[in-house]
Formats: sequence, C-alpha cells, structure tokens
Amino acid sequence: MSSASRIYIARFMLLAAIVLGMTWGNELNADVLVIANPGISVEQLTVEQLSAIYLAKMKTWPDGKKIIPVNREANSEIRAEFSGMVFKEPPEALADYWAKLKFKGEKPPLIQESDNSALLFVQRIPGAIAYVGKGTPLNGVKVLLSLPLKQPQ
Amino acid sequence: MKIHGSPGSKGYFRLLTAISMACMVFCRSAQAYDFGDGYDLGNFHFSGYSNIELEFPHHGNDALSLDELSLFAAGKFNRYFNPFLEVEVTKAAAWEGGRGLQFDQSHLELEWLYNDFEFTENDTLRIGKMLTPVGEWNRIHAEPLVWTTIRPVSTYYSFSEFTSGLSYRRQSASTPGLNWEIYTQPGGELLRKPDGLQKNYHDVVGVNVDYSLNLSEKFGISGQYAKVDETGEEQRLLSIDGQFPWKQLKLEFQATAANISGGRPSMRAHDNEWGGYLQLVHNFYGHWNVVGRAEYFQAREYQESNRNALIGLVYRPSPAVAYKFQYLSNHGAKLDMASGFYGSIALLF
Repeated sequence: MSSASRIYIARFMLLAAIVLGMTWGNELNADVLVIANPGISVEQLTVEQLSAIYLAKMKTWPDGKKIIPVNREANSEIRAEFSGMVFKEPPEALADYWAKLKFKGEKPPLIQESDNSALLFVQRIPGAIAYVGKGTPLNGVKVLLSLPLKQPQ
Repeated sequence: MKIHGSPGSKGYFRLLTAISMACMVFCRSAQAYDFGDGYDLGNFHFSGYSNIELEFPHHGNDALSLDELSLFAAGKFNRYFNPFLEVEVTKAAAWEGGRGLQFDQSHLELEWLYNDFEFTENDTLRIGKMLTPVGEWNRIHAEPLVWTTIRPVSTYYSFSEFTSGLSYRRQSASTPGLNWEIYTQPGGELLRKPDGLQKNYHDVVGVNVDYSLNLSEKFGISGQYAKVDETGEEQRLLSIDGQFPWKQLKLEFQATAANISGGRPSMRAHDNEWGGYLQLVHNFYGHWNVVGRAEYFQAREYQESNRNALIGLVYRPSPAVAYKFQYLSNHGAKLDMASGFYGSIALLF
C-alpha cells in the first residue's frame, strides 16, 4: 500500500471517528429525541416549531403533507420530560390545554404507549412525528431535534 | 352546571346514555386509554362528559341529578370539511327531596353544530351553531374543565351564549401570540334552548381578542352588539377575562358591562347591567385544591344586586376528572342562585 493510500485511509478514519463521535455525543446528551417519518421535507425543527405542532398551531409540513403528532400516555415519565422541555409546564397543563381545545374542534395527538410503538407508528405513517427516549434504535426515521439542546461549546 | 332548568319529558335520554356508556366502555377497553382521551374512528374523534350533581340548598329541596350528559363528534377530513357536533341532555334524571325520582325535567340541547373551513393553518371560517366567544368560561364550560359547580353569573347572563351564523378566527402561529375572532348571527338562534334564565337574542355581531402567554396564561377582551327577542331591547356589551397561574395559585376573572336601550325602559331597573367575578384556586396537596370566588352582579331587571361568594374543595386526579364540594353564600337578587352546599362528580371521557 502506498503512503498516499495510507494517508487517505487515515484521513477517512479520522473523519468517520469525528462524525461518529458527534452522533454519539448527540445521543448521549439528549434525553428526548424528536423523530419524524423520513418522507417529510424537513430536516430539523426548532423548539418553537415543535411547540406549535403540539399546540395545533402548525398542522402541515412545508410540502403540504398533514402533520400527525403522537403523544405518550398521560402518566409516562417521558411525557413529563417532553412537556417540561418544550412548554416549560407540567404535563397536566398540556392535557388541560388539549381537553379545552377539543371543544374548539381540534383533534388531540394520538397516544402511543412505548418508545417502540411510537417509533413503529412514525416509520409507517407519512407525516407522523413523535418523541422517544435516548437509546431507542432510530431505524427508518428522521431525527429532527434533540432535547435538551446541546449548548454551544 | 346549575344555571337554569326547564321541564319537558323526552326519551332521548336513554339513547344518549346508551351511546355514552358504549363509548366509555369502548374507550376503557382501548389500549393506554385515559379519561379524556376520547375515541378515534377514522376521521372522527368522539368524546363527551357527564356530571352528577348534589344540591343541599338552605331553602328548597335537596336533589341528586345526572345534570349533564354530553356527547360530541369532531371530524377532520380536509381543509374544507371539518364538522363538529355536540348534543347534551341536561337534568337527565333527578332525585328530589319530597318528589322522589324525576325524569320530566330533562331536555336535549344542541351546543355545537358547525363546519370549519380552514383557509390557512391559522385562518378558519366557521359556519353553524357555536358557543359565543365572550370569555373563556362560555367557550369551554364543560363541568370537568371548570373549578366550580355553580357558574358565575357574569359568564352568561348579559350576552348571547350561542351564535348561529358564522365566525372568522385568526389564530396566532405561535405562543405567546394574539388571536382574534369576529362573528355574526344574522337571525335568531338555531334550535334554541328551552326557556330559562337566559334571554334569546337576534342580530348578534361581536368580536373577541385574546392574548395567550403560554398554555394556561391568557387575557381576553370581547365586544358584542345584540337585540333581545323578548323585550326588543338593544344592547352593547364589553367583557374582559383572564387566567393567570402563579406557582400553586391560579387567578381567574371575568367582568362584563352592557348598556341597554330601546324596548320598554319602564320594565327595567337599570340601563346598565354589569358585574364580575374573581376566583382563586390553590393547589395545596397532590390533586387537592381549594377554590374561593367572589362575585358582584347588577342585573337590569332587579333593583338589588346579586352578591355571592363561594368556597370549596376540588379533587382533580387528572384534568379529565373533578370531584367538587362547595358552599355558596348568596345575597341580594337570586338570579337562580341559592345559598347552600353543592357537590358534583364530573368526568370527561
């Protein structure tokens, strides 16, 4: 193997290590990952956009596809974390908000009762978005946001 | 919710009860169901609520009643077809001291029947019958979602509770944000309630603006012009309302003022009808809350004002379930209020 090839391979491995390290770091630092069906035309979301989706203020993706938000069961730990990170309020406040919104004609987010069922739902349903805990294998979905957000180094 | 009552024997109670019970059983069997989740069937979402109420007034008969049984269906199809229907049986069954079990006070009410045209994500044209956006209480008012068994007079007495016509709502794309709505009812009310304490209105036009700071903090202002069917009066109303949580406290208020003209001035005691309430809820332990409220209301028909104060306990194990036990002290004009103890169990399903 020539020295040029060795340098090329070494550079490639270094780059791969950096990319893997960044990805690994993201997953380690995120308590909650916001995932979406890979068919949507968005690559990332802000917390404000995520809040708008879960408050029924943003209902379609930029390509016109209907957003189908998925929530976790009311007493789950991850729902409490999600509610605190996104809305800065306890999960009861969001439940209360939705109970009232139902009387204004809005349909509340669907409930999935585990990370795996939320993941499967998002993999299969176009336009779906959900949140899962760290450590969930993220196959066939897009990660749009990691919560809490990594602080700039 | 104790605000009025009117007799009229009907058999639809059994039908609505059966549907509601089936919905509750169906919902309970569904995976990961919690009260208030409702049930999704295709493009429709079904839900409802029930309220069992106990009354122990100082003067009058004690009573236990299935006060409200409501069922609603919300359809989401596309931008132009999003129907919503809510029907409610009030006083479906009641046991009254000295009279025994009663079924003759029940009546069916059409609360909502409309279709939404969503021009954009934030612009909605609504056509049909809807609850009028004057204050948050009138728009929501389902027993599991409010803190007291007795509704404040200021939240319904001076304006048209329902609008049968059209409204245009502009909703803020984010929170905090400003939302506004204009509405009109060109004629009378569609399938109006049986006669009770509330007046009937026609030629209604109004506007509501509210500013939401977050999920539970908001401030609203409403204006409404309407003509009263029964008296021929014209009225112009202004209302403000707000909800402000602070730590374990929740402050809530609404104040209304209406100027009345026309009709027969000699038939009313005042040309201005006004009042307001201030309510404080304190979460003192787990799901236990103490609620206190004071209200003053000067109705157009009475020389004397209505002054009432309420204190009570509310146990809310979830936002969809509420157990209430409260004491109301009423002075001056009655306005369908009576001093005494009141309790209720309300459930959103």
